[in-house]
Amino acid sequence: MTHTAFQERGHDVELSVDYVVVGSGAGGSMAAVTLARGGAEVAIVEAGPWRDPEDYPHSTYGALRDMLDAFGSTVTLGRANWPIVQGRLVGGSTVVNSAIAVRTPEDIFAQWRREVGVGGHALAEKVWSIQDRVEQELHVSEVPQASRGRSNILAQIADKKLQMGGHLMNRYIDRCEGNGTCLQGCRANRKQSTNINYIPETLRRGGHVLSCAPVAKVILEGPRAVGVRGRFVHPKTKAKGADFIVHARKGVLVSASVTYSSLLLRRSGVKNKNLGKGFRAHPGSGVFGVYDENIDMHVGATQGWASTKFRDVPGLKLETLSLPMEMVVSRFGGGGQELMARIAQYRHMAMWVQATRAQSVGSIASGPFGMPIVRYSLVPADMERFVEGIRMVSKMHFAAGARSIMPGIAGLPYELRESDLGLLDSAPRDPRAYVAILSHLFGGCVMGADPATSVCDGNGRVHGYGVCTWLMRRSFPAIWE
Amino acid sequence: MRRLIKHAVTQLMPRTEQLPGAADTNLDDFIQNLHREAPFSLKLGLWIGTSIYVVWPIFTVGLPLPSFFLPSTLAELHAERVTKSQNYAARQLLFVVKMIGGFCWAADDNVRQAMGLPLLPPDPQTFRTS
Repeated sequence: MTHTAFQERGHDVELSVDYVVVGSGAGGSMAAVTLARGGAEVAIVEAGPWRDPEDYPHSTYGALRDMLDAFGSTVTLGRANWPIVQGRLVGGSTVVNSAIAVRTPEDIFAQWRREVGVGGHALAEKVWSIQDRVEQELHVSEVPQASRGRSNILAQIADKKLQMGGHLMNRYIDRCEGNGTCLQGCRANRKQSTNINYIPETLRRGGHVLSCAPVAKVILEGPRAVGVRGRFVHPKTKAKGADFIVHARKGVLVSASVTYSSLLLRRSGVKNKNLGKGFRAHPGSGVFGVYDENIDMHVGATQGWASTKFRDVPGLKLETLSLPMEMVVSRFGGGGQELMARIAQYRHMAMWVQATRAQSVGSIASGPFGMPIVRYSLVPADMERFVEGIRMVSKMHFAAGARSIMPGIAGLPYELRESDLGLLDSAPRDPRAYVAILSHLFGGCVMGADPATSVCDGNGRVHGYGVCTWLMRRSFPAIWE
Repeated sequence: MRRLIKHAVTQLMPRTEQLPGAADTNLDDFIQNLHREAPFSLKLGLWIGTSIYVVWPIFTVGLPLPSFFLPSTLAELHAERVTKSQNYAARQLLFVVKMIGGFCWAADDNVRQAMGLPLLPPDPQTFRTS
């Protein structure tokens, strides 16, 4: 068992294993530990460094620098430029998300069967039985009373008044302390991100981890994947280091994020015109509620309450989301004294968000320096859902006792009272009027029975090749979290 | 350019009766670190956003002067209006300037004390090397 971090030039690394897994997030680490438990020798190859909880940054700037891909600066190209945020460290985005655990709903499996010829009830049963085990291993549990925080409690109050059908979230956190730092990595070591469980277990079972090791190419011999190669990159200085090559006796599994997996396969010579297609996401936008009492959203579970009652009609998820003050500053409108006056209210604010179950489809292409270019714009029907979601969380704030809200919509007054709620009916349908983020990314290597319309088959194997995209989401045509 | 970034951030986040401004924080060091650490795309956004802030007074207060020559009352008006530009690209790029300023300002000990928030220890910037 070995962990090999950045190596200086001249110290090239070469090893042979049964399976190479590219990427160490939710998909890659799960694949690796499953193979290792079955007795295989596995190497996980991760582009980012391995940071333990004591290495996690305290500041938000540090989180962007040390934990996110390209400082979190990747944005969509389309009518609006909305950010796409993905982790770049051992454990991937499981380190920097809110640890929400959601089961794939049955209708999604039916939809896959109907639309792409894979899925159906048999697959659903198989996936759920695995989810049973994973939930147990990762201590998935409801947000405990003591760590809910005022924002989540107020959302529950609004839920009760408006019959929003909400629930406390299930999260993979073992005895959450509610320190509100899910997005910067849980320094209390409570969040069960894969860097503290599945990856160390893979090592204990005789596996290997290469960190700071972005894969340049999957090595193909004819249609068979026989390894990966690349060059170490220092996480701080970005200096190029030694070359590495990992030979795979049995197979290569690519789980290098939604945006990078298709680029890697294309760069490696995989010929499939569907690579990079079928990109989908759940665009989300938040509304601040301003309360007389202290909310202190930096205290308590970062995300603790959600409603999926409106998942089908109009197609929304409503949820709480606490942001650190450093991140909130730019979200507030205005500048100068006006901006400072808004910031001064930070401790009286709760942020609740809507995530739109968007039907819009985008694409991923390779840009300068191998960076992904994501083209994505919301279709009008999705914008209607998006605006409806903002209306709903705005109403929730007033039901919970907010004195005003800040939906942050360009063209509307920045702060609205309850009597102004009607203004949201005429809110612009132009995505450029909103500050939003794309969460829950899908696609790029879409799964399907027909090679003419998909990248990989129902087992995640790339059509015509012996390389597997072992995936949480990048192969799934659409899912709801 | 670093001086211009400091100027823009300082005007966007001025000192108030309640709170320290960006000028009261360690902005010089922060900007220097950012230039060393951030990817080119982010720095480019920051540079263009800052440039827009500096040359935009013609559109916000009707004066063909760079923002650093504006008298304080007009500078305040400019800071308020420039972030609400009808031009989406300009708004987005100024968002980057505010975001960078916000990262520095909101992590500052004096600011956090004034807000009654816990102080942030220095980032360890460490990772497993073996």
